[in-house]
Amino acid sequence: MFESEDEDTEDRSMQPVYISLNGTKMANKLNSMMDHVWDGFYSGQKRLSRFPGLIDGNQGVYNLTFTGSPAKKLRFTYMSQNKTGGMTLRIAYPSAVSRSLVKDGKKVEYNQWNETIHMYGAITQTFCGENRYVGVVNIFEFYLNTGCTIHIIPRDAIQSLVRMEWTMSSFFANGGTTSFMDRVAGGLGIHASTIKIVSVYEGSLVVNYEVTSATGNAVELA
Amino acid sequence: MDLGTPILDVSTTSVSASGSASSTPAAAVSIVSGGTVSAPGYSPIIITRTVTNDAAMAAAAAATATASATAQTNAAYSTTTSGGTSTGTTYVSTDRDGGASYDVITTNGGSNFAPNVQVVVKK
Repeated sequence: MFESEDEDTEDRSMQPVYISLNGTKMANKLNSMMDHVWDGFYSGQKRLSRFPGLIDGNQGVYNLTFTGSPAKKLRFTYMSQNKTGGMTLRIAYPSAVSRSLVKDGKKVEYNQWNETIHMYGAITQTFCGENRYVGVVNIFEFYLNTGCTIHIIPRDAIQSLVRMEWTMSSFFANGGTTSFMDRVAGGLGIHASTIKIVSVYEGSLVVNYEVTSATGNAVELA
Repeated sequence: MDLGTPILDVSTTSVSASGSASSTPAAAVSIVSGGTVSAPGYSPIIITRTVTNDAAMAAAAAATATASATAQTNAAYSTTTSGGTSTGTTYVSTDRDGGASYDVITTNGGSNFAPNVQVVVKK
């Protein structure tokens, strides 16, 4: 079950939402719930953006495809009789907007950056809320298991893109993203933990990163 | 800021957690473009020499491009040799559209393409 937690959850439509299992032809089309309200002679146009989906929680990887702009704030929960059930969910966003995953009122950081694959480490399905962001294609992935509820929330950030006269191999041979974050943090006089790498790609070498607030508290939004 | 290598382009934008998901995101602001830092009211500062801010590099790049184009025109036929003996000739198309020259012929010695083809319909 997932739903929009935006203020316009009844007014703005992001339906239908397609949920498909990676590697199969399974694809369910989910529509918003319709409110049985009457506006004078006419039926109301409000539709609650809440989507109950029936899936096989056998540790599969599901893609969620929104046909409208995905809500900024989303809530996901998984209910099952299978106590060990779980799944990896992938959401393709139309743009690289800064997001956080919150579980039990605490922000869960992305997986560790993997210098070999040049992106955040893959989801290993080890704990609920494990997440990563796949840059360039703008896919947010996270793991959800039985009885777990997570929230995806946006965060205030300054997004920046730097193109440097460097090759990909030289960049990673000279410290990669860790060295880059240290240099940016040193130059701006901020803590390196507030800098998040979004993506690294060639051309010459482009690093997409964001600076977030050090005091940003996601609890109030959860 | 020292990133350990010359900086070519920098752009930035702010993202707000508030507002509707359907609202138009703020446009990115370019701070460094082609190795030149620019801001309204200030004179541009060159931090990295590139073809866009250095006349000598631009001239060299233009000369290289011209030489490349000339070589393509003169070598319409590319001859492959092996051991001093010609083994084949490949025509390098210069009169077709498209980046890979796979599209229709647009010119034929200065004239439009006029194929000598007769279509016969068998009734």
